[in-house]
Amino acid sequence: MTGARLPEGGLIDRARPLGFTFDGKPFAGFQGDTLASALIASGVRVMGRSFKYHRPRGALTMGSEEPNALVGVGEGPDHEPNVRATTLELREGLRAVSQNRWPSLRFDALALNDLAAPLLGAGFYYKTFMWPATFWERVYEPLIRRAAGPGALSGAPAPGREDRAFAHCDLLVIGAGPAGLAAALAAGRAGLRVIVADEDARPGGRLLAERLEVGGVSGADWAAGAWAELASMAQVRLMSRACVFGVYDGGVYGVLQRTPDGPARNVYWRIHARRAVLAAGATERPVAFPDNDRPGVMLAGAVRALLNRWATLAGRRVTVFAAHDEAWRTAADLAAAGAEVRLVDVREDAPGTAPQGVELVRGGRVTGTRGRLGLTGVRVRDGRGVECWREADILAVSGGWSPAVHLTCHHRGRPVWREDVAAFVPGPDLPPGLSVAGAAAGAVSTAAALCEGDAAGRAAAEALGRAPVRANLPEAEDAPVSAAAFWLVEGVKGRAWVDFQNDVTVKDIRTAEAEGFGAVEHLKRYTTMGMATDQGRVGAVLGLGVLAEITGSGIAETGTTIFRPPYAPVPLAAIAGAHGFRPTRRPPTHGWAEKRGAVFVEVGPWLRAQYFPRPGETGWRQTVDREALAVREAVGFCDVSTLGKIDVQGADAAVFLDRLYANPMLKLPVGRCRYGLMLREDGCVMDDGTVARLAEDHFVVSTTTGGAAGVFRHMEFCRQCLWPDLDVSLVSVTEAWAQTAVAGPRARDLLSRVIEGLDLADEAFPFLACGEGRFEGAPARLFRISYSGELAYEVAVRAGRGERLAEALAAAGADLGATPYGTEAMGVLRIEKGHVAGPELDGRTTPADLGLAKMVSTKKDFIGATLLRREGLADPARPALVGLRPVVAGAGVSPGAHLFAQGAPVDAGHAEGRVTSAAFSPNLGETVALGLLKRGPDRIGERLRAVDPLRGREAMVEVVSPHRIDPEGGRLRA
Amino acid sequence: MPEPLLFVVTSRRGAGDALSGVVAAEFGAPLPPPGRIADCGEWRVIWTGRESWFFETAAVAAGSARARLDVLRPGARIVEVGDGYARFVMAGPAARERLQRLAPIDLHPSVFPPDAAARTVLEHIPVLLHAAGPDVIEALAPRSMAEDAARLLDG
Repeated sequence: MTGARLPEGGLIDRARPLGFTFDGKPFAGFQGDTLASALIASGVRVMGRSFKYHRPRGALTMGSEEPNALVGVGEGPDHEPNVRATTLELREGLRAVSQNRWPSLRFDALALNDLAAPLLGAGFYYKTFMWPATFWERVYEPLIRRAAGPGALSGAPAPGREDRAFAHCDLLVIGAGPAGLAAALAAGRAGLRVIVADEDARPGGRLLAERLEVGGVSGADWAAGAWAELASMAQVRLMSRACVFGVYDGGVYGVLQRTPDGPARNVYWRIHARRAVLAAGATERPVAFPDNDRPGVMLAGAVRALLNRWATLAGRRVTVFAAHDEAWRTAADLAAAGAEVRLVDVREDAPGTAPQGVELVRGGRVTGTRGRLGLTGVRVRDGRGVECWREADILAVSGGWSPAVHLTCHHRGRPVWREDVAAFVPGPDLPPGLSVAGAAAGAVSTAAALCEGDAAGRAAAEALGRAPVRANLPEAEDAPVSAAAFWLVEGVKGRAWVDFQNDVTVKDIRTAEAEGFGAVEHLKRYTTMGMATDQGRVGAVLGLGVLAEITGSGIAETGTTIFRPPYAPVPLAAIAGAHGFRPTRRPPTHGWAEKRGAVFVEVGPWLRAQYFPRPGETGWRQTVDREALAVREAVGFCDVSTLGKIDVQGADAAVFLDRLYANPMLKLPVGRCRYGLMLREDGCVMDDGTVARLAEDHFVVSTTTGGAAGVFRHMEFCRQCLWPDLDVSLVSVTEAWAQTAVAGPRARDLLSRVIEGLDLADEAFPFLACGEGRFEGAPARLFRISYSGELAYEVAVRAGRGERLAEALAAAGADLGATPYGTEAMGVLRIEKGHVAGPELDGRTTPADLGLAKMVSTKKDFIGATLLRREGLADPARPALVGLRPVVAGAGVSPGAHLFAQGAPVDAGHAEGRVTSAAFSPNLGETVALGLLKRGPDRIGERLRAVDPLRGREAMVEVVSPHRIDPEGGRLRA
Repeated sequence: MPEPLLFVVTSRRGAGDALSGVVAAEFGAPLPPPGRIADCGEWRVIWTGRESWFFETAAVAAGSARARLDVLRPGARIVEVGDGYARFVMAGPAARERLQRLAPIDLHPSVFPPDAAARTVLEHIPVLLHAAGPDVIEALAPRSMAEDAARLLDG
């Protein structure tokens, strides 16, 4: 046993002990512990196995940058992999398991990988496992994937305990250390709406890990006081456990907040902030020396945090390896707590004298470590070059501190090297509205952090028009700090780790550089350095330093790779929210259709009645056949409210529509409808529908269901941007009207019983007439248009009366055989009639392709007219609309099948077209299909093969006219 | 009380100012500017877009409401759309908080005061939000999504 809990001190609540298990073994800790601190206090050092080589690993840090100590938490669908033990708050009954090991953490069979390390170096997957070629996908890759990598997801659907939300503020303060709290206080006192987001459960940042005083009280107490003052301000919102992970356009910040006590596991916030202060502090850097990854090798600041915050002595015999003054504090604090401490500083001229009780080695190097499952000894070379092993259970390392510049780079800003603090600090190109304060900006003392934070808060207030309130800053330590840029212990053999999570070593960097991948972005991809879930927060800068050392080009010139969101891992489930809430749209007759036992189908966001089964019907086909026959033989009705409806009014409404549609609209008489074909600018069909002229300056146009929103947007664009001179108003009335198609030879009889105030006789209300009547005293618009090819009308009543209309049609038409029908029968009817729909209007077809060339006006300009005349679109060899019927009676034809000439090879190069729509026609007693076929209209009578390799089906088909029912159109004019 | 009625009123091109004058004379307040509501006694007028307003009343019977709006012609076009919307009224500070979590726009009283209106989207549901009082926000959502909007707003 190595680590031990001290009898007093720290920020844990000894009155609240907590029991938990790790890999099934019971342990105890206290309220205020993290899993990592409780395990270390219990003497546990190995918490995981490394990614590639399965090396035993313990916690390196005590924060969210932790690369090693990743565990799995929770069971079943609740299982969450790759949780950082260093930020996981301990709670009663917590059950955590280690990852990437088999059969156990102590004895991991794949630790054999460590012996095969020479085969697994930088870019190994480009070099080894190359032969035989077919083995990569089937053998090597699955094997490598299984052998490598951290924890696995449960595979079960997410439990849905995720939430997401928006918030707005004047100032977002990122981090609640001294700089962040000072910024928030300054802004809050000036009256700004402030949000403070801090990763930790407790405010204070680095103050919690130090013995420094602020304003005469402990750093933790000062932070708690500042937090309480902020909490008392109505316009300030405090978010703890909230990690700001990305800076996006327009001042939007992505924030993931853990909510262990809330109904959701996480809340994904999108925060709109007018200004932001980044006060995220800094991350300590390790140093590269042989076997620097053993459990027991930790960052010096983490060892100090364990001692001061969690009252845990990480080890009794400690070596501190430092290139930075701050690590001396670790030595001093540990010695004061009773540990045997040796301080090895790389600097011959390190300032100051050895802290009390500490053995100081100036100009020394750590050249090796030993201990298979945990550190037992450290080899040190002193300033004179003498090496010796000494027993140690903790090696506390500090290569200096790297400011947390990541968020400053999310708009492609580049950090710059500052020699005096030996660190990359934020560059000049910050995201708009963001400023940086404290250690994140390179400030090294608490006093400087407070001062910079305060200034940033006051500057934000001033920029947003508030008078800053001047307040005295508390006194705090302001000692100068000196640091050496020290990366690598040279002149010793052995593997030295740089990126702990992705198992990248100094040797890998040397290899990459030697093989021509020495530019930072190349190095990153060749070695995978910085590409693990920790995003290289611990190792990336060290790796760059090592590279600079190897190439001799200097760290400032070497530069950094670009940092991208997310700053810390974000579960995709959190971004999706609670099962990705998605609204369903229900047409006006939905409730009525439900009562009639309809079966529904999703059509985009809409839920539409697909068919209405009757008792005794044994399958959907039987129902659909009955419904389709009823329309051809008697009368049927169907809710078509999902079609887009747009009210167009104005003196220039007709001109507007004439420019919008490919066919002429200018002279459409009042009281008449017309089919309308709308093209995109490129000449392809965008949408189709009907245009009805209700008055000289008043039209109602309809769109397809799927195209409704796009067409309205297009029309608004034309109105506002292309032709702002036209006097025209557009109002979407899709939702306001319930529209019902009434079709069949008895349609007129049925409607005359229901609609008053309109003479429906053919002479008075012919095909393509429109007008207004009354339904039960309320307005009803009637359009004589037909999608089925029968005598048909569409009746529109106010949406609230839609169900009443359906009831009335069913009741009044009982003796006429009035039958409600769904989308399935509607599809059968339109395919029989040869009307195009979604499958044909796929965005690649022109009017000529669809047999509608005659509709296109040659006498006017309209959107798409020019590009429609392109040679390629006028090519007669283009696939064009045809009907297809199976040659063998009873055979089926599948939509999606490709068409081949008999005898031609079945491959993509010989396909001459495809089947777009197909259905069984109860009226013809055979399958009817539509297709797009090269030179189709010239090939009537020809026989082709329709091959559907996806479903393994094939049929011989004959090319026929697409209009299988009533090609002369006598029925719809009846 | 009669059912609430809702009309879209759009102005003839370039006739917005003239229309505003007629509205001021007939209804007691000029047309509201972008993002705002005008309180006209029995009527509420909400800006909804370029040259476009909602006229809303719950105090006037349908027949007389339509007749009343006719005075705005021919400078305006009037389209009745009440059946196309479901109305949700959310009152109290908790309601604003709940709505704010869902809404990408800022609903803080300093930004969205009692005469404010905005079109926005709540989890894919397009809505027109308007503050009907210091702590009352009303939402108009498409009728077809009413069921899911209710589920969403109920939390």
